[in-house]
Amino acid sequence: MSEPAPRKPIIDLEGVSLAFGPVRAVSDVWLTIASGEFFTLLGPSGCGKTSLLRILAGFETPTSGRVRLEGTDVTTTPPHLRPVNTVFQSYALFPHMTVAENAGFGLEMLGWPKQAIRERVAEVLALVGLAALGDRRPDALSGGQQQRVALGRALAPKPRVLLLDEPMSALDLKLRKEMQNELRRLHREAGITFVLVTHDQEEALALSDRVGVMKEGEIQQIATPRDIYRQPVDSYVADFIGEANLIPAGELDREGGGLVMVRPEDVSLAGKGVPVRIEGRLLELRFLGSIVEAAVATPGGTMIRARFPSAAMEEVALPPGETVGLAWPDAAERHLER
Amino acid sequence: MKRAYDPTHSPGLGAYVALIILFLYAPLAVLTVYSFNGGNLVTVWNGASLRWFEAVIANGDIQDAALNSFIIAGSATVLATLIAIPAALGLERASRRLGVALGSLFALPLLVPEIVTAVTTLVFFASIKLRLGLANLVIAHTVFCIPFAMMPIRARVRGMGETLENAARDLYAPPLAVFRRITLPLLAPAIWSGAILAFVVSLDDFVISALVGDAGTTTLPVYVYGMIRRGITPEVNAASTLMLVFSLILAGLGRSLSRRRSRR
Repeated sequence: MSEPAPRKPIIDLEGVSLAFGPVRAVSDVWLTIASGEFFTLLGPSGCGKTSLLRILAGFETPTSGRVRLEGTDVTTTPPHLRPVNTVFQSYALFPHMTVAENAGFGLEMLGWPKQAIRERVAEVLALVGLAALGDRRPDALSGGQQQRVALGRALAPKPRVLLLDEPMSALDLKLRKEMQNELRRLHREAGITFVLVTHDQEEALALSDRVGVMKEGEIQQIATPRDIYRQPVDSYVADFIGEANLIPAGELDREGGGLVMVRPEDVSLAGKGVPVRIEGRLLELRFLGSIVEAAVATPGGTMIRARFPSAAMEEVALPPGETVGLAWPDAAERHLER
Repeated sequence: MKRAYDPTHSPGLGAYVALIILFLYAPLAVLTVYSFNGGNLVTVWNGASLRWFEAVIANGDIQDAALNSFIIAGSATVLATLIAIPAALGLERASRRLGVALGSLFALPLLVPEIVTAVTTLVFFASIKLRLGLANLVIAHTVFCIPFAMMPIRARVRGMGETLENAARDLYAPPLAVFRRITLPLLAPAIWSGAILAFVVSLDDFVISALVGDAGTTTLPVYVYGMIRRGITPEVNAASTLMLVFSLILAGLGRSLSRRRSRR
């Protein structure tokens, strides 16, 4: 496990909270994002991730705490004075302007000369693959194209940080995969810090340098996708990222309580000579082509899922109801307090 | 299989609708037809002629009244619209409770009987000794034009949301630029249809114009009313027809503007 070399911090959130009346949307968030990083805020809807993004953009002023951008306190700086641009969930393209006018709007507001705006707009539209559509109105574009305009418009002023609010949620699966690759490429080429908000854990794992998992306004864990997956801090994170078997420690005759987490792909049916971790009744054995999925109920009532290559199952043909032993390597399990 | 009740297949529906339309529009049709009457009586047809239109156009008093009407309607529309734009934005974006309370306050001119508004305005102007001639009427008309000018703008502000303005703010637009480059262009169709609505309402107003106005501020509807009292000639019809046509043109314009808005 190699930590990336420490980079210059660009965003510092120092104990940031945001309350709407009695509702705490964000509570006491401490977070440092490094320059050039692809950081993702991940969580279910209503967990405060969008509120946190709006605080970074300047649409909300935190109730308490401080926001620093490149060391400067911007807690109360209005959005138009922050070198930060946003890709909105609904794209928010200006319907009364052409694609090129949309893309050039930020530059125009920054007072760039006309010729320079034209050049930069052409460059950005080429970057997002819309070079030929500059004269169209947004309503004459497909959803995917609108998404690209929104990206181009936000990248045009060369912001220090690009904020992305669930940018892929309105796209179908195929387009979403395509845009994910596109985002990775843009991040690489633009060399800008990206902060992405999403509820899609796969997206978060695939794109990010680091992920912050949020729950009820708090950040539960900040780590690399690998560490979030392998070493979740609690059952909430373990369950939210990928699939997790959460077995009460008592069922495995362990001291101290808590839960033992094992990913389904680490669990196998114990063969000869492999120590059995726990026994249970086989509920179901599903053949899914390259893999087989087994569901096993322990005597303690915990359901454990196992996933293994179907090649390993060739000789064994177990009827449901059979008692089976489950095994996994030491390194695969993680002890969680809650 | 039992079908859901479909009112368009009820027997006699066509005749019923035709009757209602006849009831609504027959008087207007008669009025319009008789404005082309060549004779001196409103009720007796005496050949087609444009003589009463010529009479209307040549009538200096009618010209003055029409000019008054247009000055009042134009000024009241501009003032009401200038008030309605910030009011609509404020009401839609204030806290919900405040928006509802203030919103009904702004809509009050629609609910108060016009004669009450007219009398109180008259008494009020008299008590503060405000004698500005046409300007008195402009003020009175502006008041009842505001809700009409504001209605479409409020609806548009509500439908538009704040995301587009936030996007502009995010792209370095200071507040005034957001308003000028984003808010105003997006509201423009609604502002136009509100203004046209206000203009038509002001142009058609009789009660307030008759009570609050004085000798020098006779508007077209008030003058036409006066003509009737002096004895009805087809000149009344001709004047009414001209007003009708003008109102229809404005209404059509407003409709096409709001259509363009909904296509967006």
